[in-house]
Amino acid sequence: MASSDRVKTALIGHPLDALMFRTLIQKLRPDKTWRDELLLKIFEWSHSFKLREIPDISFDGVTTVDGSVFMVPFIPEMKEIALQKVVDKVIESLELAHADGCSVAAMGAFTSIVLQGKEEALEQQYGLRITSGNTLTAAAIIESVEELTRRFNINISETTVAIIGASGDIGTACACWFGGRAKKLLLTARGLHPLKQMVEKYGKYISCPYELSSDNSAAAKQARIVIFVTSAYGAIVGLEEFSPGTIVCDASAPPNVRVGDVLRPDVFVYHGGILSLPVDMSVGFDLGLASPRHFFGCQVEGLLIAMNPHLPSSWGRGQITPEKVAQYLEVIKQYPKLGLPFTIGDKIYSDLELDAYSDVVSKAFPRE
Amino acid sequence: MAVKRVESEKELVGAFRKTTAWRFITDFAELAKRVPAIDKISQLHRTDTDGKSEWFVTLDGAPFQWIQRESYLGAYWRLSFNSIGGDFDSFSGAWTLRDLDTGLHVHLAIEFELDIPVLEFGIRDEIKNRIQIFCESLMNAAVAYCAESATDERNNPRADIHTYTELCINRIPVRSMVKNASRKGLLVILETMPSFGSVVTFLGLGVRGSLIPEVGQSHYARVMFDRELPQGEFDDLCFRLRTSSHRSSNRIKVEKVGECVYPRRSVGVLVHNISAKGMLVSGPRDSLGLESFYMHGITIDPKAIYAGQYASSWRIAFANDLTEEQVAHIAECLQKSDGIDVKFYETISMAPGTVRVQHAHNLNLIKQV
Repeated sequence: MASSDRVKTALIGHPLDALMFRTLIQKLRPDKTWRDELLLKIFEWSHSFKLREIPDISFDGVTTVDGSVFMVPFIPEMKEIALQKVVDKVIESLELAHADGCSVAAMGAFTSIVLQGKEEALEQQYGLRITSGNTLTAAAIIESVEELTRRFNINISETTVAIIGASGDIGTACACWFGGRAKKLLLTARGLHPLKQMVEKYGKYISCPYELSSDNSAAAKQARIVIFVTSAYGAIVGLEEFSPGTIVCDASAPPNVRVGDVLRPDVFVYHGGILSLPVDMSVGFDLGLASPRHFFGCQVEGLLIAMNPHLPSSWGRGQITPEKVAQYLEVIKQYPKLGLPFTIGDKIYSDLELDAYSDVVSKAFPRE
Repeated sequence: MAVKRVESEKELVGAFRKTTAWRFITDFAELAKRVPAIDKISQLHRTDTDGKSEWFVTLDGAPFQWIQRESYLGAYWRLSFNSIGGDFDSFSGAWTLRDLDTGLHVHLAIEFELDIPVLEFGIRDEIKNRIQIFCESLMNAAVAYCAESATDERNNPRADIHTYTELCINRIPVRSMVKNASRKGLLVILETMPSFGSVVTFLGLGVRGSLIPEVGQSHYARVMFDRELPQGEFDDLCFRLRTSSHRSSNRIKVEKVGECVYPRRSVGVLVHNISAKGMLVSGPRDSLGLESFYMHGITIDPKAIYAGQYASSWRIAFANDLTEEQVAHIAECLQKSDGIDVKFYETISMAPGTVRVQHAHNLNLIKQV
């Protein structure tokens, strides 16, 4: 049961795509079939609102916090919506969180991107600690990739790693981490200029050779490990485009890799940046995750900050250093019940399946 | 989400007619043309009293669709509608028109319910606000239409005709009194009212139109031409209507009270004129019948009784033509009678209708035998 003296975290987000939103509506009103154009427009008209409370969240049985889920009525498919309108909706969600007694706000998906540069002022205005959750997301991606290299017997220092969307916050964190560990980095972004700025700023972390490009498909074909961390509105690469033996970590929301009904046996693809929890996190609609006990790293970071106020928040462009990532990796280890699962959609890879992939993937990729 | 209500009302000050506003709100094609939010209205069914239509409306980028049933209560100047399917859980409302001392009052109310799960927390009044704007755009279109029609009346003045002509309504010849004409249509008086939208042609004249009964005025109807007549053609039409009145014999003006003596009753009427083919009288229609009656010793067999151009005036058409002598005899007897004469009628006449009511009331024109 929620307690008034407990720290409360606002879990702020939006449906990842129109399909997710439509599925939710159809489930609740099976008697009606509204066209997407109408549903999306009415969703666009809507104000931010509190969806539900998730009380009694504890990862260790000792520290307990409460959560409130806030919906920002936005979907990436709303191409005509003005940016300011999205910003207004996100700020409206912060107002609601403040009124609800929250002291931490975890901004999911695009809600953190549109607030970039405004976080400090908004923290002061609403008395909230705001976090994009990008540090824990990056930490979860990094740890999961390293776990796979161990399982698949891949030496990362002999491996080319592609980071698609490398100029973003999480991409930069991954580039800095693997820049000191991989054989080579292929870094892509929509524009080369931000990429150049990034490698200039964080050159001390990137000691391996690297190539900068805006050709996502080419990078995806060349690398053995490909990490997707873009803010694209949908799929940008098909699963069929990867070379055999590739490990694909798709941590973008919505996902960037178009996966059909059948997975490839020679390419291991999973959704990164997701953690498994010891509690149910039912937000009121299907997030497209494997179960209510799987949740986005960005939101889990908000809960961890509520439980551990000394942890740093993630906001501000380029603030996610390898040191901060390491700090969150340490925190994850303090909570044995927090896991880094390998899932894709509602599928959870079993140990047997991972072993099967290990056999194929470790042999399939041409020697670098 | 609970049922929400929006409404809009306007007072049109001036000579605005309910019939004009009614014509607009019941003409969905015109409505769709004038309200930008309406993409399309498909009329699925329509009678004088009810209808069914499918609406496609885009409100601030959101495409709504619904099917509604309409109920046309012309006697009350009320058009109500109620959705039976579509995006809304319900969408209903009504147009109502009311005369004011200063003009016309137009009111539109809409009630709707749209229960989209989850959004009930965040939608607040966003849909209602847009339906309110839609409601007001419908109202503004109605007001603009009425204003244009008023302007149109000035641009296309009515020419008084007041003659009988033979209209061909749905291919059947019907004798009608033409009250007035404009380049866009006619105001006519008919004994029996054909259905809305009947096709009208004039025998011998190359003009076509459709019939629109004047709501609230029995026997009156408008014939809307299918094109606006050029001035020259309109002048020719007026000339022909005035000079080719549906008469075949000369009339003798009388303006005296006489008695129609039926087998079991006697009915007093004011006889305006008489010819070999008929007579124009004012009196109670219910007491006049198609059975034979006597007037000053002459037997008259009515063939039909048509509405005259004024209230309570009737043209009694004879089944058998009277001879010139019989017509002259009746006219002469009437003119010599003691009944109220036309001079008195004219001296007290402020409005013809008022005077005739006084006749009937003061002189006890109806006598039971």
